[in-house]
Amino acid sequence: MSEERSGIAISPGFSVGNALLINQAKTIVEKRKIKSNEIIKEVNKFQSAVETSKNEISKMKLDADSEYKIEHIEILDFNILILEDEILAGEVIELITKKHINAEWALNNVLTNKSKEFAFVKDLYMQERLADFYYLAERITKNLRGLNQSLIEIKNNTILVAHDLSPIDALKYCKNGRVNGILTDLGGTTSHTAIIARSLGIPTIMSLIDISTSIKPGQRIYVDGYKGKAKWKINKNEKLELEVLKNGYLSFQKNLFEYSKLSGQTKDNRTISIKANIEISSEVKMATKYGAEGIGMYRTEFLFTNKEQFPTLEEQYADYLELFKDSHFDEVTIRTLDIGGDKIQDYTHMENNPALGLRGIRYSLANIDIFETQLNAIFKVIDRTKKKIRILLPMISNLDELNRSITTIEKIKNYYLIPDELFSIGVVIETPSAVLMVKEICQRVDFISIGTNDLIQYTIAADRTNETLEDIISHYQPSVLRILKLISNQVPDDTYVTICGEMANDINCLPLFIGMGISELSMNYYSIPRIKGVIHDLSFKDCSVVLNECLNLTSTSEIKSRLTDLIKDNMSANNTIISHEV
Amino acid sequence: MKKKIKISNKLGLHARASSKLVQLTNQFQSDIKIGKAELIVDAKSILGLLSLAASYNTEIDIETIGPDEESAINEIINLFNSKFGEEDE
Repeated sequence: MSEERSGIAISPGFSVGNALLINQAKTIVEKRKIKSNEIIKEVNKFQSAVETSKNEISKMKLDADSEYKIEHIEILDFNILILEDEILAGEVIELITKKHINAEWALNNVLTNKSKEFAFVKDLYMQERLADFYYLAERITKNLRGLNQSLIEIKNNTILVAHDLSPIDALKYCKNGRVNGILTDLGGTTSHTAIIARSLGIPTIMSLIDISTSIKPGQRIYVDGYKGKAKWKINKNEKLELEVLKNGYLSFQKNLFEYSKLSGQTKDNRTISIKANIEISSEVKMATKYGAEGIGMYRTEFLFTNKEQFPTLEEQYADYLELFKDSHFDEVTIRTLDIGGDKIQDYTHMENNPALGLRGIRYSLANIDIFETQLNAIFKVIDRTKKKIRILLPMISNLDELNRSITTIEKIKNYYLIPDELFSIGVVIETPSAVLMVKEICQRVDFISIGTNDLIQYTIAADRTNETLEDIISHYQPSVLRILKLISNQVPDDTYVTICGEMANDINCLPLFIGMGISELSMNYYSIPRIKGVIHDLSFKDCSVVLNECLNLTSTSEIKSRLTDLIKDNMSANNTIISHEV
Repeated sequence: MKKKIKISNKLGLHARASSKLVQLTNQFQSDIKIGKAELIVDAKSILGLLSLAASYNTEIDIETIGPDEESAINEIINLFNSKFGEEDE
């Protein structure tokens, strides 16, 4: 039986390699009394272990990767400062000299007490920074024991497997290009290690809980950094499939940047704009690298849920300003807060069914202060940068909600002197109720964005997180195609229509969107090159024909195979994208 | 010398700002303390500053004692006022 674990997808890509277990056992520290005449020796030993650790890290600053030099060096500097910290050294030395205990135990003791001091820090971002601190303790302990940290030899095709991996180790192990993937038990999206993995383009999954104790050294593992899945002990049939995926990814990877430079233009010169969905404002940099023509949707939820308290106006302002840093884009789309009862830690309002509860615009209108603060931050950024922001309203299901939202937006806008061309309002069409009101919605706003994930879930009445429903909730369902058509039929010519949701990055669905004349697709940044590569080989004419055929088909499998056939028939021989898809 | 200042950079005394502050304070001989309410820490220690977890708009006290206390406090205030170079003013 093959084995599989799911975790948080940290850095995209698909790869295979042999497991190298790092730090498998946490160092066990022994408490030992030392004699009075050993004290000086023990203190010296501690100081030189800290010094060695510092030198190891300082050396790494010299060969920091050029493109991401500043980011990498800032992380290394932060670690060096912790090592130079006199509080840390002072307390450890005091324990050694006054209590006559060994350096390892003293260090461990000081760190345990320090972790209590930090226990009150509830800010997730901060906690992930503090993780660096514990990695350093491990490093010092190893140097105290005279264990050479650089002895591990990295062979080609290595998958690093660790309980937890420090950003410094990640940099050190990955610099020679032999590491194909990283898997860890702990860790999250904004950790320093995650930042490094993404900047180096190494497929990475974190929060796998017990991967480090489930894998044997040398075990061949497949890493799917798109879906956050690691697989091993693969049977023959599955192996064939995974190898095809891997090889496809490799050849695709070679052409990645060629594809990313393409414009979203069909053979017969129809253009569709390809933009990125992002969750963290700093992702604009990666989005640019992968060829995004703009930010089609910045989901602001992460900003709101990674802290105990909702971000203040100033914090949001600083965050949204980041979207325009380095002038990657002249226009971005910010979706206002789309959270519901499941994400808000308010136990007085537990809901039985959060997906159908007080979420999205319903929550914002019920908590008008939060909504106004977010709008204020958005307009403040427009005012400051003179760049355009499209405001996208989630979960609108009736015109009353839309009217009230527009009134609120206008009210906040009037505090600033914002020319009309610097902002626009759009609605996410994601409830069947909104679909039936599209004509009236379009009369009130500048654009609509079809949120396929929720629209499908609400149309089919099937929970998209329920794995047993996977076949039912397919976006190839005839009903899904027809509801999309129902939307496009009602849209006036001057309304801009975008698609955001998983369906936008399924190459098989491209003919549907091209055929319907959709203006823009917004997706994960790493999907952009392959989508551009496929559009390039399609024509509006063929897509329209196939769209009409599909609208008359009545089964999911017929629709899927009709679409797949069109793609296969049209891809030029040197297109490596098809081999990358299953 | 003692002075009060409000944290004006939006991210507060996070990793990056704390690093910059420590790099500055360590250039002075004086003892430098920074406090928020009843919590007072050594401003030459990154761990101390991080444990303060001071966010945007928090009012903090700065105290410098030593031969170069005046230039120390002035440069610290300047660094706070420059928002640690975080924003493109």
